[in-house]
Amino acid sequence: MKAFVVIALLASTAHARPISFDQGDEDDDENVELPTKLGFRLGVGTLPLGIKNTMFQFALGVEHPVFGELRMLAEYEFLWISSSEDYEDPMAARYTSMGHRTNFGVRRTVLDKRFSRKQIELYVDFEAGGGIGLYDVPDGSHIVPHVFGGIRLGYRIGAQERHGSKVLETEILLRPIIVEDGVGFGGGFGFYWGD
Amino acid sequence: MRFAAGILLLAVLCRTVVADPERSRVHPVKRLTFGAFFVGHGGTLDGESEGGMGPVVEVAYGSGRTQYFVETGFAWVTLTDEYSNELDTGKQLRGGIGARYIARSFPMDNDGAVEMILEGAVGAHKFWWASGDELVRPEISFGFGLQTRKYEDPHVSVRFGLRVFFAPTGEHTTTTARCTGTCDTSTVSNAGILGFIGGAL
Repeated sequence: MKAFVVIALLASTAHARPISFDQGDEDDDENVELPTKLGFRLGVGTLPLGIKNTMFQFALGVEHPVFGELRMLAEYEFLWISSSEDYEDPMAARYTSMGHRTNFGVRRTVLDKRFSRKQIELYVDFEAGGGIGLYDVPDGSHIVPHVFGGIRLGYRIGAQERHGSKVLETEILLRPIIVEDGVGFGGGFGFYWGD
Repeated sequence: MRFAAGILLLAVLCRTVVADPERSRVHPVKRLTFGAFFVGHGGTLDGESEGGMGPVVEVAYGSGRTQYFVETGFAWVTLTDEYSNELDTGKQLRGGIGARYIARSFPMDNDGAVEMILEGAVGAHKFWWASGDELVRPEISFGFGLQTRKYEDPHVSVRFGLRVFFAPTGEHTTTTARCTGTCDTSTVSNAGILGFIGGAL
């Protein structure tokens, strides 16, 4: 429950920041101060939990600029877990269950390139953080802390209109997740709106 | 508790504020819309796998950035055990009422927008199994999605998204023990996910 209070506090500090896609020259690499963002991601992954599993991940996330291009992120993931002792054995039992996971971390753009009079920007971001998850699998419920590092590849579009969101991001996330028993994986594609 | 916490988080995310009132302004939705969607779902029924697909229609009343809708749908469903053996087949009828909120709206040339939606619904569904059994489950669902919406005639919107649903049967009341580390019981769940894609006018 404390994690949710933290997320609530993070979200309550959110406020709009200017975005400056239309400043500078085409080849400039000046920092773009990105706004607070809200979005979602659909993904798939797995985690070492004592049984082979596939996790379908449905994440809601917020981001908030800290300083420069460093942004703080908070996510809640609903997990739909398919597990089996042996997927290759057609006689092996398969189970479905649920999980919940929260992630906190930071991300930063390491490569970017702007096109079309600064209205479109391709980017590569690195991220790092940690969190905790609750996973229901056939042998019981596991509460497992984790740390993660990842890479995000995507593009953002800047809006020309004065109303609505300033920016729309579409991205692919690749995220190794480290838990006590090994390394898992998460990833997917997401959409984020920046106000 | 976890479900309640998820709802709380959704509400908090939904209320993430913007400082600029102009930026937070969203072109109002059409007052009355009719939608049709193709829906696929997968979940558990007292621990067994249950899934299906079929059409859903909705009528929505809108105001500002919120829509209130009534929906009904039909699906062909299959029940399988953990060894993928087919236990039964049948049909499912769903109905519910709900609300949809445009959490974010990215304008496109003042003609329309790409929007993030949050939605939730309450209702029930009934199974008619080939074996002759019938079952009614209440259902509560919430989720998110993306829609593209045109502001002017024909006010078309195309939408895809996903909801998580919970549908208890009353047969099993087992819940995950509140513990840390590894527990020796797991949840007998009656829940699932529901994906939809379609449009509204």
